[in-house]
Amino acid sequence: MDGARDWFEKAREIPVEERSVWLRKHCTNGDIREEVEELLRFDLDDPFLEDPLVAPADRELTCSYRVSTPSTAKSFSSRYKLLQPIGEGGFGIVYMAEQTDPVRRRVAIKLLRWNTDSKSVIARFETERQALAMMDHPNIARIYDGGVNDDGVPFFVMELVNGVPITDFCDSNQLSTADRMRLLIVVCHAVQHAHQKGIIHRDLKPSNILVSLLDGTPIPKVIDFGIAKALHGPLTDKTLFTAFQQMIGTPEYMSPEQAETSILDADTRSDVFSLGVLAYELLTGTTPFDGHALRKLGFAEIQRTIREVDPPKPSDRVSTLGDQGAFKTSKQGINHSNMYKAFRGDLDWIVMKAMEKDRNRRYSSALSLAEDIRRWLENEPVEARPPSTVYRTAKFVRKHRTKVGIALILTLATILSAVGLGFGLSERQASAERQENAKIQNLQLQKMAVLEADNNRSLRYGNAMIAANQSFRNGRRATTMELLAECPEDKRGVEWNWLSYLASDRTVTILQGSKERAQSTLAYASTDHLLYSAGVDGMLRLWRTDTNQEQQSWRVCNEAILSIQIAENDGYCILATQSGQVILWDISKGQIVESTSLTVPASIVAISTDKNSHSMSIAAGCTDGEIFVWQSGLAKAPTRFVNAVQPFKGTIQSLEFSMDCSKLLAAGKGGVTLFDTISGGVIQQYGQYWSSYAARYAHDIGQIVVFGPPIVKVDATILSNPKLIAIPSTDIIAGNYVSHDHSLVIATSDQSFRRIDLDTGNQETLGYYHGTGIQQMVAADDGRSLAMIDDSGALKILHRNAYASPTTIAAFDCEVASLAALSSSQVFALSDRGEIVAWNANREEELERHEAHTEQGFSLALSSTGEQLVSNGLDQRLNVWSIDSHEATAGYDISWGARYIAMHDDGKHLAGPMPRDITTHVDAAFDVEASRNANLAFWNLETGRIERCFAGLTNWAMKLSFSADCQMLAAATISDGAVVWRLDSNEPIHFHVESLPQVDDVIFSRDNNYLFAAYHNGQVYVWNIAEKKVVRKMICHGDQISGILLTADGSRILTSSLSDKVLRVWDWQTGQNTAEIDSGLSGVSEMQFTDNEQSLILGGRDGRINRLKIATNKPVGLSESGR
Amino acid sequence: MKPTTVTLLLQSAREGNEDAAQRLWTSVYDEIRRIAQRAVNDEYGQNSLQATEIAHEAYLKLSGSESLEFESRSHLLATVARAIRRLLVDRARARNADKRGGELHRVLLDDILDKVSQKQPEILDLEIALEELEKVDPRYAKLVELRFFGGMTLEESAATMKVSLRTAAGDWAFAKAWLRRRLMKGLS
Repeated sequence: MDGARDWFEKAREIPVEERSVWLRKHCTNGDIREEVEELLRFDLDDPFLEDPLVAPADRELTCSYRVSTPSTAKSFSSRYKLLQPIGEGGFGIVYMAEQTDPVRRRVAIKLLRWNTDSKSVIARFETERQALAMMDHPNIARIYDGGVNDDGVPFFVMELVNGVPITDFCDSNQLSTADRMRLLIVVCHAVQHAHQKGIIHRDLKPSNILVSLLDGTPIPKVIDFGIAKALHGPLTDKTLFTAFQQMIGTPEYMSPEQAETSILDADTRSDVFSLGVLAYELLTGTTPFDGHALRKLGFAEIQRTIREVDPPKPSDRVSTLGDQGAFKTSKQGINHSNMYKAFRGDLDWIVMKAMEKDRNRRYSSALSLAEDIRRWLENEPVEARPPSTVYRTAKFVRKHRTKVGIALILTLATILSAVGLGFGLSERQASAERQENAKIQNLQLQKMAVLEADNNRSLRYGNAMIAANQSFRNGRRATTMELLAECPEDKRGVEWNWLSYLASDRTVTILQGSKERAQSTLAYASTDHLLYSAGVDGMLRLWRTDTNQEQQSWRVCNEAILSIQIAENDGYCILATQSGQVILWDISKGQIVESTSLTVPASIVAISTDKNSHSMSIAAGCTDGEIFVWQSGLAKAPTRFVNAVQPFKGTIQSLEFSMDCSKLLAAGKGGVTLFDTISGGVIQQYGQYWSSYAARYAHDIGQIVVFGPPIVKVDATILSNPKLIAIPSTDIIAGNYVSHDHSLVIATSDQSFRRIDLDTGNQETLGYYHGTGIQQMVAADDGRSLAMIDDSGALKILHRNAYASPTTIAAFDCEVASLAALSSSQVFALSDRGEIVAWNANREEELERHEAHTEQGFSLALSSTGEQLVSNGLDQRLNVWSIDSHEATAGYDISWGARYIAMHDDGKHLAGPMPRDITTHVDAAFDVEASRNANLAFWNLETGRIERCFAGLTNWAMKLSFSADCQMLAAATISDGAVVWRLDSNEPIHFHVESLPQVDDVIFSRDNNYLFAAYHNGQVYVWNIAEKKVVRKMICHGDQISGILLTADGSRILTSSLSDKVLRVWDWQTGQNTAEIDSGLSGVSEMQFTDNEQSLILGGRDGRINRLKIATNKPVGLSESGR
Repeated sequence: MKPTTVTLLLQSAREGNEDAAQRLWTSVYDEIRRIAQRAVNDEYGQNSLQATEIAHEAYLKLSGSESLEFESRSHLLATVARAIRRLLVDRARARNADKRGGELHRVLLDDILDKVSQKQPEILDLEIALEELEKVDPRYAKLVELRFFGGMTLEESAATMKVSLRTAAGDWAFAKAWLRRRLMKGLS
């Protein structure tokens, strides 16, 4: 039987039409083959069992399944009474319902599953309501009403149609080809009617065309007219991710224009295309492209297939379908070979014409398609014709558009020169010329092919990144890693670095695990940056976590040490060994104070906080569940602590004394017990339902945290009032409490480290570890690092500056106006109050603070040499600061005109507002009169003079930017669009978009040929500067863009928005949104790269300044570190 | 959730006196309740059980079971999935037995075929098929239980069953095709 399972899996990977042949060839066991073939026929791509009966518990909120609740749906309106569900689609559930008011009738109600965007769904529906009301056709299901119910779930009320999908109807009634086509004509007429009323369906497919029998006559009805448009909004506030999700709905029936741009770029001819696909399916039993196979492709590949790949003609499809075709087409009541003949010719061309890639070549209307089918039925000559050679050539050209242009011209030249023959050119000359031309043409074609291939590779890379991002977000890190590894190296950009960094193991191995030196236990000292570890070699080691270096080591014994614990003042260490020894070690003297021996080795030890060794309490928990406690050192015999009611069933996992040493908290296999240290009695026990526990004191907040499959917080003194704080969707391997920020740091079985904030309940991922498992994990109490020992005995540290989450390095009590960063050790920020502060982001240390402006601060700019910092503000001052001395070296009075300033790459020039008194800032030669109306000035900071001016603006300039060759200046303006000046000319060049006067940021491409302008609607336009043409638009954010950042390699841009938490990365050549980076801020006002694009410094609307590591200078090996 | 209901319920449960355990159970209970809520919603109104009723029953079944000790979250969810499956099947059987000529209440052949191909199978038919599939290899039936009754993703199911994602995906396709065939054949 397993054989069948394996053959089944293998056969599924083979194209449907080749499976039979393949199986016959490879699978020799006839029984298995039959079974597999049969099973494959039942391997359908439909919702069977896919929608689980029960919602995933952790993800209930994101599923938004509440719409399917009959009880809540019932209450949505007094007018409708839901009776029973009758269908289910991608968008929701359709119910049969009874309408009571204003008329009593049975209706169908579609309740949408997603309620995320209900407002716009309804708004779009409202715009079509009028037109929908005018539609009145016996073959179109009426749309009666639409709106949102009491729960905010959008619904549509439609005429109730009792029918089956047209394809099923035809098959089950074994309709002949002619009858099928007659039915299709009726559908075409219905669609034509809607088109005349201005309604396009946009989602025609068999399940939207239901057929019922009325007095023996099949009556098709088209349902869902007008709904597709309401469901698919324009792409303004959606990223590619969602566009993709929408598209994969029913790609089989989608026209190329819809697939290429959006569902909305549809006209009546898109419906004609879908009708063509329907005709194809009615004839052959299959859609032109296999939906199952199509969905397996990436977004761009689906697009490409729909756009470019020509499906076989219906007759060819029938002839290649073989047995499977017979299986399906036999339902048409004719035999298979007749079918081939029947389709071949006119019917082929009718279908192919309806499905033309270029909508201009399709039937111009549903009616003309219907007419042609009628002609075929009545044996009249049809309009559709096989494509001519000329047309096919033209089609190739269209596919390759401009790139072919040149080659085409060359071809024409060849033809012309051939014509030239008749005008006296010698045969030889002409022939030589032809050869030469052919050669050039070949070269051009080759070049084009390379470009095309490269573009496809870029798109494929982009798709892989989108998929990698998605899998990472869904917690499938292994898939992410695989996808990243497969990305071609020459295509990798900032998003690849970022995701690789994020998903990588960023722990630093400070001691490799080896047979001789494998570590087994570790404990942080109370002093910052110090960590103790011990292992199989009997050595106790002290590490500095800031340098990752060993500071000191001691030989304690000659056998493996299993557990250590450090007393509060770092004076003593308690150790347990493999042979059952328990040793009290004086760290400062480096010698044993006392030792004793147990029959079963202790798995865990604890030591009280007393400074005096003779009043110390010591506890040891053993692998068999026994617990021993010594009072006043190890000299006296220990007391055995027992919980008779709920005994431990195995290894004690954790053991801790309370702060005052009056209680002992023990946890392990079998539960958690709180003992009275003095009497040895059980104060309370907790939890018998999970097989293993660890428990930690959160001394400072008077709580105990219990780590079971759920994490529970309980009162520290009586184990009462337990509160479930988090159930991450994975199992917890180790957990620690960090008092510094009242958080838990846990290691989980999905190989991640996470932090759970006990105050807010927020969870974040700190990083990941590779390898198989963790023996022990401890977190530093100052929150700066965590340390672990893996299964190989290697000691690893994860430092806070390598945590995945953004860290806040500083904060203003007002918005961050501007940022500049030399490196992460020198970050400058200007606040809305006019203050400049310098930080070392690595050490989270403030370096300097200045009252730079008496009023609101506007912007900051650093000179390329890193010597000067320039600022301006509402106080109309331009101040120049020396970075070395932190002193202001110059200051000028300036006028209004520009909010931001920009430094020229030469380090001494700057573009900014005009000086207030121009005469004191110019040489005698300067034409003061001519600069009266100037808006911006080109300052020389060395001389304090302005060397030229820029004019042509009617209002303020916002951000300014120089081109990389320093020959151009661009301004983002409030009402003049994007404006560019060549430094050698006075003429402003306007890059204006109709109805979008305001531009928020503007930058040049690295090659100076393109301009990126962020228009006020959240879109970035890419302008070809020389041609003044928009070559690409990217819908970046739903709201105003606060900044655009170009990567060093020039291939990607990053965009941020004041109302968006994420930064978006774009490959501007393909327009793909290759990553969304969480900023850790509610809105981003400023962003800068530092440290060679290894970090981002982000300024928040709320005044916080975050630093985000996005790459590492080490090559991030996908299997880096440790093993 | 009404606290009194939970308290009463917890009191009647085995070893339910301890406050801490009760609270822990509250979270388990909540999880079952959420699951049950969905179970009722998606049964297309065919099952007369109310969400809380299912949850109570599932809870009692769980608390009355012999080995009440969970290794992990996924173990717990798997247990709940099994409980839900049992519950729905028991309930559907009882309902069929209650009504005289229970067969008459079964939906028409066409409807079932439609349901099998378009939507979800009738619960008792699926149970019969599942039990048969279990004999082929318990792994397949377990996977269906986790996914269809337990709401786990393919990844979670793979992790719970300790198989690779690829294996799980293959098993899933196979199990689905197998069950679909069984349901179609069995009813024709």
